[in-house]
Amino acid sequence: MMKKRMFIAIIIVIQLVVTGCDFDGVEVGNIAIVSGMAIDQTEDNQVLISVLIPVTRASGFGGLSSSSSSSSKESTVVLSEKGVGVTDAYRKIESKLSRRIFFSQTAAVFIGQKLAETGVRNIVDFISRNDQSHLGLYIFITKGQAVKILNTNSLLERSIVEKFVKQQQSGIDFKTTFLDFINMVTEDGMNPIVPIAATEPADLSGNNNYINAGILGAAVFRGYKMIGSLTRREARGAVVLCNKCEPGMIAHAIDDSNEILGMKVMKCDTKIIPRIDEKNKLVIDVVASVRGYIQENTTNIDLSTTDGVIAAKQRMKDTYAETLNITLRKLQRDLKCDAIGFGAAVYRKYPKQWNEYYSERWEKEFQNVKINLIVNMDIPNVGLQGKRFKENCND
Amino acid sequence: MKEISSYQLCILTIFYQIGTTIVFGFGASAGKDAWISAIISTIIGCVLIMMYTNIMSINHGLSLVEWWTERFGKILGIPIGWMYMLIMLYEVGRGVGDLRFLISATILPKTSSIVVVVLFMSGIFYAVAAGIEVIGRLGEFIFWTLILLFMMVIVLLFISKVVHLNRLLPIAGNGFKPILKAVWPVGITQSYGESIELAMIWPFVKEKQKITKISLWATISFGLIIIVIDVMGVAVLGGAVFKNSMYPVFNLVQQISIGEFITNLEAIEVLFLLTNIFFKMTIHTFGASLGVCSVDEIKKKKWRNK
Repeated sequence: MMKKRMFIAIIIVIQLVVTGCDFDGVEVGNIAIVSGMAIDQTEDNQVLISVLIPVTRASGFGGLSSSSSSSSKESTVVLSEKGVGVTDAYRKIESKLSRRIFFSQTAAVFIGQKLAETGVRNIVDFISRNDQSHLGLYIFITKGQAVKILNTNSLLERSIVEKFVKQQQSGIDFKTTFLDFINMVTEDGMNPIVPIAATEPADLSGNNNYINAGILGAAVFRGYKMIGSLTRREARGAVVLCNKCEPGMIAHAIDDSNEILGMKVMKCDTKIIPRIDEKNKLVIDVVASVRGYIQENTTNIDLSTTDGVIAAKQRMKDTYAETLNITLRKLQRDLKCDAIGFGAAVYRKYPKQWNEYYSERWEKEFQNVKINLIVNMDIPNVGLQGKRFKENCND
Repeated sequence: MKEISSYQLCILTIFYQIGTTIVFGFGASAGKDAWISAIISTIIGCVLIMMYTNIMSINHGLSLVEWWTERFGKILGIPIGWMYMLIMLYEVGRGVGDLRFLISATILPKTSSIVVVVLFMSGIFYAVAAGIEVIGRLGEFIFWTLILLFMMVIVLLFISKVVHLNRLLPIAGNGFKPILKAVWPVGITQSYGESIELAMIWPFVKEKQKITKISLWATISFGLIIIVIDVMGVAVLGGAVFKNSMYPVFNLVQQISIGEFITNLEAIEVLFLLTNIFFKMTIHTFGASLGVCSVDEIKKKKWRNK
C-alpha cells in the first residue's frame, strides 16, 4: 500500500516538473523570426549583416480581421548592422529590437560579391556551428550589395526570401544548398558553384517600374573564394552538366534566319564518365540524355514527317551541345576552375591514379583534359499541331 | 528465480550496443569509409562476443564479477571485480555527460542540465530497483517502436531526395589506414568490447545454451544498423560534414524535408538517443549494483537469480 502511494506521488511530481519546465519556453511573441539573411563586406573590412524579419504584429498578420485595416503596411522589415564577425553584428541587431533573433526558419542567405571574393570561410563556420540554422538553406551570391536584394519586394509572395525559396524549389534555375556548398568545397576535384541573384525590372515593356529580383547566372568559387561568374546561358549549361536539370526548362534553337524551335524539357539526365585510354591519357565522356516536347516552331521544318522530327532533333542536339561547350570553354579556358566536379568523377572511378598523379595537378590538368560531349536527344511529342498552318491562304 | 527470455536478451544486447552510436555515428573519423570500418569492427566484434560467451560457459551460471573470485580466489578476485564495477559506474557518468551535452546543444539550450539528468536518473534507478525482468519487458515493448521509427526515417530521407549514393565513392580512396584507425581502438571497444558487461545479465537468461547464438545474432543486427546509419550519413551529408559534425546522425535526420510539410524531425533523433542511453545506462547501473551485491555478499532476494 505504502509502495503504491509512493509510486503515485512520484508520478505526480514528475508530471508537475515536466509540464512546468519553462526554462526553454519560447513565446512566438518574444522572438523575431529571421527568414533571410544578407552578408556583405564593408569598406573597413567588417561584415555587414542584414536580416529580413516578417512583421508579426497583430494588426498586420492575423488573417481576416486585418483585411479592414490598411493593407499597404510593410509586411517585412530589414535591419542591418556591422561588426567584426557575424556574432558581433548579430548582437548589435538584437539590441535594436524588442525581441530575440531566431534563426531556425532562415531559408536563404545572400552573400555580397565583395565578401565572396575575399572568402566565405568564416560565414560557413557560423552557419554550420550555431544550433539554430540548418544545413538545408539556400545560398546566393549577389552582384553588388546583398542588402539590396533583401530590400526588394516580391510581387507575388509575402517576402523576397519566400520568392527565392519557391523559385529554387520549383527548380527552374541553378540551386545550391548550404550542404551542397560544403560538400563542393571539401570534396577532392570539385569547386563550388552558386547562383547569382540580382535585381532586374519586372516588366520589360516599361509600363510599370517594379523591380524584381531573380537569378541571373552563377558564381564560380575556388575553395572559399569567388573567382568569376557565368552568364545565364553558361549557367544553364552548368545546370545540365551538374545533373541538376529539372523538368520545365526551355531550350531554343535559333538558326541563321532567326527562326526558332522551342522545346520543353521533360527529363534531363547527365552522366560524367571518365576513362583512361590506351595511351594512358584521361578522357572524360559527358553523356546528356534529354527528352522534351516541341512547343514552338517558326522554322520551315515539317514536324508531321519523320524526317522533320529527325531534323528538329538534330537541331536541338546541336544547340544543347553548343550551350554545354560554351560552359566548358569558359570553365576550362577563362576561369580555369573545375566547378562541375569532373575531378571528383575521376577520383571516384580511378582513386589510385587520382591519388598518385591527378590530385596535385588537377587545376592544370583540367584545362587540357579532353571532354567528349554526347547528347542523346529524344523528342517523342511535337505538340498538338503537325504541320504549320499555310502561309498564304490563296494557295 | 528471476529470468529473462532469450528474445529479451537479444533486444537488450542490441540496445546496449547501440548506446550513443545512434547520435555520434560509428567510425565517423574514417569519413566516407565509415561503413567499411563498421563492417570490419562488426566482424571482430563477433569474435569478441564469442570469446566472452565461451568464458561464460566455462564459469557456468556465474556473473562477470564472480568469475574472478571463482578462479583467482578472494584476494585477487575481489579487487579485479571492483575494477569492473568502477568502470561500469564511470560509463554511467559518461552516458549522463553525453545526454547533458546533446540535450543542451539541441532541444533545451537554456534548461539547467540538472533537471534533465535528475529526471532521467530517477527513471533509471526505478528500473534498476524493479529488476531485470522489468527491464527486459520494457525493452521488448519499446524495441519495435524504435525500429519502425528508424525505418521511417530512412524512407523519409529517400523521399526527400537527399540521398546521393555516389558520395560513397571511391571506396577506400585514401587507403585503409584511416579506416583501420577508426576500427582500432575506438571501433572495437566502443560497443563490442564493452559487451563483456552483458555477462552480468547472462546468468538470468532462461535458456543458457542459447546465449552464444543469441548474442551473435544481436551483434550482427547491431552491425547492420550502424552500417545503414553510416551509409545514409555519408550519402546524405557527404564525407566532410559526416566527419566534422559533432552529432552526425542528428544532422542526418534534420535533412528530412518533404514538401515543406514534414520537416524538423530532430525530436525523433532525441527519442532514439534517450531510449538507447536509458537502456545502456540501466544495464550499466544494474550490473554495478549487482556486482556490489555479489562481491560483498549482500543477500537481497530480489537481486539474485538463485
